[in-house]
Amino acid sequence: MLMWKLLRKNLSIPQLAGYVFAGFAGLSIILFGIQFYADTKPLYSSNDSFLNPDFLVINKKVSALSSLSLSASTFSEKEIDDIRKQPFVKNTGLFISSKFGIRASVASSTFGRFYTEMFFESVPDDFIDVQSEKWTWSDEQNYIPIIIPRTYLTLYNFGFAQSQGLPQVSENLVEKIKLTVTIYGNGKSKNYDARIAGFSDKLNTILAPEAFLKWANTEFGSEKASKPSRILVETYNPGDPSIAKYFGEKKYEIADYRGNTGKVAYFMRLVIITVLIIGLIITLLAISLMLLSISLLIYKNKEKLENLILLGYSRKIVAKPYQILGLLLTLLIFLFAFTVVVIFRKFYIEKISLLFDNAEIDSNIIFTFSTGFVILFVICMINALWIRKKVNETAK
Amino acid sequence: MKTIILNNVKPNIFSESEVSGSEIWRKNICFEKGNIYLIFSESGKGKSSLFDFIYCRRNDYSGKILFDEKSADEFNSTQKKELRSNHISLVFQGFRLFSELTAMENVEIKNRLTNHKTKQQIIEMFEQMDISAKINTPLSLLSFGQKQRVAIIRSLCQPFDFLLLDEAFSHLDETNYTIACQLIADEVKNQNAALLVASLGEPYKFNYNHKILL
Repeated sequence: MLMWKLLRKNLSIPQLAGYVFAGFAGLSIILFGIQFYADTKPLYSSNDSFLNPDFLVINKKVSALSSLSLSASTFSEKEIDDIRKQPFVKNTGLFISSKFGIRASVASSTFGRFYTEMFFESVPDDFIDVQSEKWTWSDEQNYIPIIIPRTYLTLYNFGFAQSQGLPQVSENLVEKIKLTVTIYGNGKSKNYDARIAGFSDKLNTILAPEAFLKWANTEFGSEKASKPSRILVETYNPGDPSIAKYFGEKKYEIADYRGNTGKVAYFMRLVIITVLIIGLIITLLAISLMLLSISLLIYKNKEKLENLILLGYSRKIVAKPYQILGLLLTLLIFLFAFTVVVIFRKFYIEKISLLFDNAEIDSNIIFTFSTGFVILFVICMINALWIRKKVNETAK
Repeated sequence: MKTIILNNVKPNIFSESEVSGSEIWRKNICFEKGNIYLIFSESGKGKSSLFDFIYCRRNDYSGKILFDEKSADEFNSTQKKELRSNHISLVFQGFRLFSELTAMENVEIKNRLTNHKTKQQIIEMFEQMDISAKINTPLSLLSFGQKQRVAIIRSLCQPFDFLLLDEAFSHLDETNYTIACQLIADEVKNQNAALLVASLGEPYKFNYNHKILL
């Protein structure tokens, strides 16, 4: 402890207290921002569809003119290219429709067999978030997975079934129903089993795997490929205001657009980023204050450091007391900041639980803790290297 | 380390005419372990500079200083640390003691590098030098003569091959420096080291093998 007795001389308590306070303010803001973002993220980002929430379904408005075939409701290649060029677009997917006849039937013990004419559409598989073993097709396969709109089921359960005295069915049950699908065209026909692999909120269509539709269109198809009337668009950020602006100008419709939750998420992200930047600036200022304070301290103790080195002490040992001081102060900051975050978190989590009764907060503080630890480590490294550099400069 | 060789060394601050009469500057000279040297000159001839060069504190000179064939200007900080803690001890003209510490602590901070002396041996040296009453006194309260004696004790608390005294008795009376010289001579003999005494002319109480004019 003789070294410390010697080197603590000229230590400025107000400067070190200033470092602890500024560092505490900066680190608390950063950690609090991260924690708050992690905790509130589930509140404004919903993903209840089998489609990724970043996907949008675009179609043209159907007008009187398009019914009379005077204005196309399909997208031309030029229009699709223009959409692809937009900065917020990550990927696009085109719908393919069935160009052959489809008749579906289901066996019912009460009514015998139901028959209905229907249609299929498909989108690229990348856009579909159903377990891949459920969503496959090869031309030897006698089974077609399909996705139907959830509204169909609602319509049946709360409209048709109630009025006709039929039993209501759950999604799980529907997925077990075996449909028989007959496809025909080009003078051929073939029977398949079909099973419902999922329900969609966003797409009002009956989806089959793209590979199946491509194959069936060439086998049974009656006409050449037509232009798509709907497009799937994957965005970088669905809350981006330029999305609504662009499609509005083009008079395209976005199906079931959750632009508002997207906007809230976007706004929240903006606020959190601002807060983090402020926290970072304060932390950087605190680090500068510490480095400056230590430089001054070493400068004031220059002669002592030189004498110690002339006695035969290594620079490493001479630098160590200052490095330990920096480490302890930084640990103190971390401890303060972390305590404050934990206390505040407890407080706002109670509030959130009151405001959103179904809020699921499954985030934890481990990520924040480890982020804080990384910051702490970086600060200590900067501090240690700086002290070593200053000691080397002082005593040649 | 057995020898220190000075090969055509001249401090940069001195002109050629200033070093013309010297037996060290611009000459080849070898200091060998086991010998006692008196290096004398009037003030300003570079006694402290010579010791600073040998102690690797400064390198503003031309020529070469060799420690057993190894050139001083090639020493890195680790080698300098080793040199200062185990091979060369120096009593600085300006002492270089720590005024924040007591007399004893000033010696201990040196001794703990190598644990060359026991605490008891250090106390005995304080007693021999007649400053045992000041052992626990903060250094700032000591007189020059007392500080000088603390500096001498500190210089003996390490293993060395060469002990350099830079006007180490300038504040001591004859009685005191006689005791100090005895203490130093014993330690030098024990360690079979060389002693280099820089002085303005006063030979003090050593049996010199060589007297060299700087």
